[in-house]
Amino acid sequence: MQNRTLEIGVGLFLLAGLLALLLLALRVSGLTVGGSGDTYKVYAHFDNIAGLTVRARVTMAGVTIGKVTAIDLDRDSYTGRVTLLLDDSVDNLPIDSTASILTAGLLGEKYVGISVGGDEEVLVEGGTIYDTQSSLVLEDLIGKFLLNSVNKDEAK
Amino acid sequence: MSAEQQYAVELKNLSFQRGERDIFKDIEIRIPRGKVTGIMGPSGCGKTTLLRLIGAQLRPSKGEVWVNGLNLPSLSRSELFDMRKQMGVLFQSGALFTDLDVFENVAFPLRVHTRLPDEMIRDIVLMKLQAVGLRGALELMPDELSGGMKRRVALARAIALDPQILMYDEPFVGQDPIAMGVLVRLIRLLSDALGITSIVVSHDLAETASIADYIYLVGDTKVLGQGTPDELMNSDDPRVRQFMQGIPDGPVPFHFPAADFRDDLLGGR
Amino acid sequence: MRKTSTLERIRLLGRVGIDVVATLGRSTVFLLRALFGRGTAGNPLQLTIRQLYSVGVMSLAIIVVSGIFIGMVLSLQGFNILSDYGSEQAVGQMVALTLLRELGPVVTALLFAGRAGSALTAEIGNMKSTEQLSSLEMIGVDPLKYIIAPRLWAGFISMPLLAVIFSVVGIWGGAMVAVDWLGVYEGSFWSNMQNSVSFREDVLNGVIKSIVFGFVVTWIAVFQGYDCEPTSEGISRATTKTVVYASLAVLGLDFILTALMFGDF
Repeated sequence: MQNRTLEIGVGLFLLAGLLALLLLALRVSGLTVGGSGDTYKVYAHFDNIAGLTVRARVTMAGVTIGKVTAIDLDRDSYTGRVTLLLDDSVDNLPIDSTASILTAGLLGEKYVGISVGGDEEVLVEGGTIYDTQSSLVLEDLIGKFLLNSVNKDEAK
Repeated sequence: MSAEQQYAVELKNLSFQRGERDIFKDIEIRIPRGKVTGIMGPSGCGKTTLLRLIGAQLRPSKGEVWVNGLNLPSLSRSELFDMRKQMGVLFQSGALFTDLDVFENVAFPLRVHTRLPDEMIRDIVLMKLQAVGLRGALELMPDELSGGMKRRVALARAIALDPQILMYDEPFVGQDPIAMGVLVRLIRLLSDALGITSIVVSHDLAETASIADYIYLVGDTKVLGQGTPDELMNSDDPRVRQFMQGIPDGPVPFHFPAADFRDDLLGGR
Repeated sequence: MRKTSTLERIRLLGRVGIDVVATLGRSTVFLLRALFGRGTAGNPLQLTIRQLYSVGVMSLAIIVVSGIFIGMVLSLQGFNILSDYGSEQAVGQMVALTLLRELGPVVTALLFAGRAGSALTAEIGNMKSTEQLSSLEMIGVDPLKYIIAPRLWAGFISMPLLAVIFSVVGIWGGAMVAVDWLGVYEGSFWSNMQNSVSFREDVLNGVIKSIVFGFVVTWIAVFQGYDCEPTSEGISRATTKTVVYASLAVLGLDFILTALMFGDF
């Protein structure tokens, strides 16, 4: 009898642990069952990737369709080469789509947004997105703003 | 009768050191089969160590320990565990498993070493408990027992597997006269009725002398004397006589080794 | 005079070094023998279940209660700071990441060392001092198999489960404070969390941490009990050692593991 309650207790404990792990997976990390299917890889070259990190989201129309898996410098063109891992379900991206580095909110994380192009040809595994828009660098922006105001002052 | 059959346990040329200190130096002890052998000596002379050497819980620094024709230091770990099934030890504190009741304690060796059905285990356990007079205490937990009862339950557990050799570690310490009498009778009975080789380690003179067929007196890393209780009582050896008659001062000095008393007093520390 | 004292210090240092190495060696042999040594005694599964109860289930209460409070405090503190920047909705993300990556595994390990670890040490030490271990040995049962191994396995299994439960309860506590009391919008609380928490990088890494901690804490606790001096003084000293060594090991290992797992940030 005592053995029975003990075993039930242990069973409940193990169950609670597994349930907790399941909760973490589904509720907390938003893991979708079966969603992690096949993917394909494309590259995008940016003049400046400032602030973008590995694991950042790749979105289209606000929907997450992939993630950044690697960032490195392309030695020949002196640009940042970002490797994007995209969902196989989105296999109809035109080859002239635009990739831009965006910021979620004023101080939020950086992510890659893709806006669709018009070409008939679509991106395939190993393809490259040429039309890119670099990260907004605050210092450049401030610099431009100051320059503008100086120019205006001179014009007066 | 060959020597191997005549002696259940033989310690040959055995030395044991703990750290830098010699506990035993080149001792020879032969324990006759089917008899009760007492091992006596002053407290702290390593009597319990001797039992652990025979049980192979300790490894001698030098020499051989033969038990039933096997040299223990040469056995592997798993061979040792097999060999121990032929041995029972009654520890000083009883060493009952505190999370099991009396019945399960006695049943424990049977459960782990045999595949007997439950009813048979029950019968054997009842038999053993009956032998020590505690069949009624079946369902008690160890902490509900008195010291003497614990030791009797432990004895029942030690004989559960019908060992050939039974070792008792200070069985008489801290027992009231009645419990002591019961134990003395049980030890003698087990030896006579079942032919078990018994080794009693003790410093209680009267009780040990009353049941032992043969006594080894150890102390000061050596075997000081051996013989039947009568022989030892009438021994001429001053060290044996000091122990057997309980004289405070003698070859075993009353004082712990120290510098001269006068020097110590005047030395002013 | 001064020369000898320097020499004496070097000798002491050497002795400490030798002691440490010897203890490490003994504990490794002990662990390997207990886990992989031959010969079984009794039904190992049955024994492990019994230990899972006393090691895991009995620690649940303290883990759940501490988890709730730590989650609530995190949420409260995070809200106060984040609201300065107008990003209160990130509180869910903060609570979840802190718990999953750090506090879940670490605090659980520390509590486990205090609750179950010390109990294991005391229990085994007590068995040693009452000669129960010797007596097992003389019955022909290997105490490493019968006493030690089930406790090791129970500890290894319990810790990750406890850590995961701790995190879940903590996140729930955090959500309660943030959403119900402080009025963070529930939808953004959870979606922010889900967007930033990755299952593999955060949840699994946390679980890996707690597996490592469970291994180390249980090993220390069980070994200290087995290796202690069999007197009541020795047992109490071993119990203290268990808590101190286990806590230090957990904190030190946490740094190393964090550096390995999240170091590329």
